[in-house]
Amino acid sequence: MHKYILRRVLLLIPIILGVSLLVFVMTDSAEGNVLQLIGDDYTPQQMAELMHEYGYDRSVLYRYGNYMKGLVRGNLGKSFIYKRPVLELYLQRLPATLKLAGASILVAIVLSIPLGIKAARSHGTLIDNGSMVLALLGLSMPNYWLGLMLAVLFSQKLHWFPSGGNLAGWKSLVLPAITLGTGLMATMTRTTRSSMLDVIRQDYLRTARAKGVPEKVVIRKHGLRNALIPIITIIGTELGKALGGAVVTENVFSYPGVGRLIIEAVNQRDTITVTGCLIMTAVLVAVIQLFVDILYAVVDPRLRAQYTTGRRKRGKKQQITTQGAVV
Amino acid sequence: MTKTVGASIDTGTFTKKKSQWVEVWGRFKKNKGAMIGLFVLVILIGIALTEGLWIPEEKVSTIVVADRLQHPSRAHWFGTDEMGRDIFWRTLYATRFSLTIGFVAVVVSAVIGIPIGAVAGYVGGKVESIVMRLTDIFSAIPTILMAIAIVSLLGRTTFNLMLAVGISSVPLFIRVTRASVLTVKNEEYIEAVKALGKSDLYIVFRHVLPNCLSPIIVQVTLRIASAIISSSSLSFLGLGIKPPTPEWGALLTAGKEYIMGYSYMCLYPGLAIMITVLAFNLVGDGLRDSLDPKLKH
Repeated sequence: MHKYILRRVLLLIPIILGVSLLVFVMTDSAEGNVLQLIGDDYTPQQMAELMHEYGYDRSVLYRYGNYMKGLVRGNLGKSFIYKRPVLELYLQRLPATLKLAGASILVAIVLSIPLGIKAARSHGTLIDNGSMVLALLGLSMPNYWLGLMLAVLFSQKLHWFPSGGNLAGWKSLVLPAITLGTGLMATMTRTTRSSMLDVIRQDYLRTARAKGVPEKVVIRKHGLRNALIPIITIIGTELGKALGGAVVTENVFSYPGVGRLIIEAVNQRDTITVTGCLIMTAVLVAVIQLFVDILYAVVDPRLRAQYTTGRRKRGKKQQITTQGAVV
Repeated sequence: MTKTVGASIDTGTFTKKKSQWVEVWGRFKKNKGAMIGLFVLVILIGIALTEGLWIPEEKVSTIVVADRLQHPSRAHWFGTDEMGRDIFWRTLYATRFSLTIGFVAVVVSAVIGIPIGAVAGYVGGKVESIVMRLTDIFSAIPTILMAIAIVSLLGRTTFNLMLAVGISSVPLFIRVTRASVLTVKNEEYIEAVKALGKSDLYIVFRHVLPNCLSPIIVQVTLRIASAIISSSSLSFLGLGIKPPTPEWGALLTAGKEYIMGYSYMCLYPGLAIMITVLAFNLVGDGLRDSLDPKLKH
């Protein structure tokens, strides 16, 4: 188990290096624009000094090296526009985004897993078809549009929730969380259903029922537990998607998170802030993926066994699995 | 591909073996949702192809100040915008633009992703692991953020928007193609072609890829749906198509300013996006079920 976790943590390093290089090189090519943009306020000599200060008289790799030196020390550079360290800006906005992504995932989990199970159990009935149509509708809706429509209905017409900002406590989280959560819910309902359908047909479920195990236990212990792995996978990827989708949702509701910061920075050509936020978001997504992978090992004893047993025992294990496959 | 065999034998006991595509169509036809989706798509593509012929130009772009911000009525089914232009006609007219963006974006990702995925899967070894690690890195950045980065790097033009949306879903095509190639490349018929001394390039493109088409076709259909959503999201964020260009995302963006009081301006373009995306999703799901009946639930 520890070996598995260690291996996965080490795999993070090349991903972080690769992502930062990719983002840096991409945004760096646009970076000159900023200096040209504010260029009018400076004399040519000041401009040259500024170019030197940001390393524009050297190669991209030199600037990347410099940037990474800063990054490992927690210095992501200073925003041109806000005149504040990027990391500070990012960390200031991060809690709001995490709250939003967390709330929407929570909404999605709480609603979609029971719905998916119900749909799978009543396969082919009206409930099943109805929930699949709903899920497909949820997948097909552009979420900014859903957000706007929710704002019109629940904020403007009914005055239940505020339409923007985050000043009203949990109430200002409701509409953004539903907006962002709908797409996630749709995907998760579909995954839960198909995963449960696979499991429901297995012989061990029939055996459990034949033994007289109560239906609730059959579903929860024998069914859901085995159906959980694809569901966990999807929760992991959906959390990543939620962090991306938050960009759009935050902008619909003027919600002060990282996504809004990124768009503000893009619009003001504050590339150093964009670079920092993109890298930090990618790292966050990678870390979440790491946790999901570890969670697999916790849920799936087969995976756990693969890494807890030492090298010598592994041959034995494989034998067992091949025998299992023959049976 | 399965060829028609036994057609010339007229013993009665032999029936003509159906082509694979006929079988697929047979299964697809039975799926009500998929057929509805296909029907809608045919109409939408029909509108996109012929709209220049029958949509009156003046309805789409003429500014009539006297008619500004009219709520939906018999004269203006979807109401009018802040310039007095009819939203029904503008939404209809935007079909071509929006569909084109979705198609082109997916063509971009398919053209880049499929060959890379095929080569990675077929060659294997170091090439494969390098390609896949790079793909992992690339997909660590959420697609929409990737698209934002690319657009802000390349500049905000329609072409760059399509490129950005396309490039950001390249990893998906690499993964799908590779996975599919892996299952095909060890088949006996591939070994047979190898024994004939054909070049690897010939084998990959002539024999391996054609047999990997099913998951790729499904992916293309589903990705067009999400490309339409992504590109309109970027327009909404101010990074894509700008109003007054008749594109659904741009129409919605224009309506955003008037959302309080004139919500119909956003309602209809959004519905148009939703219907289109839904149709693509229905067809994509239907194709998946009919191309690979083993997976069907």
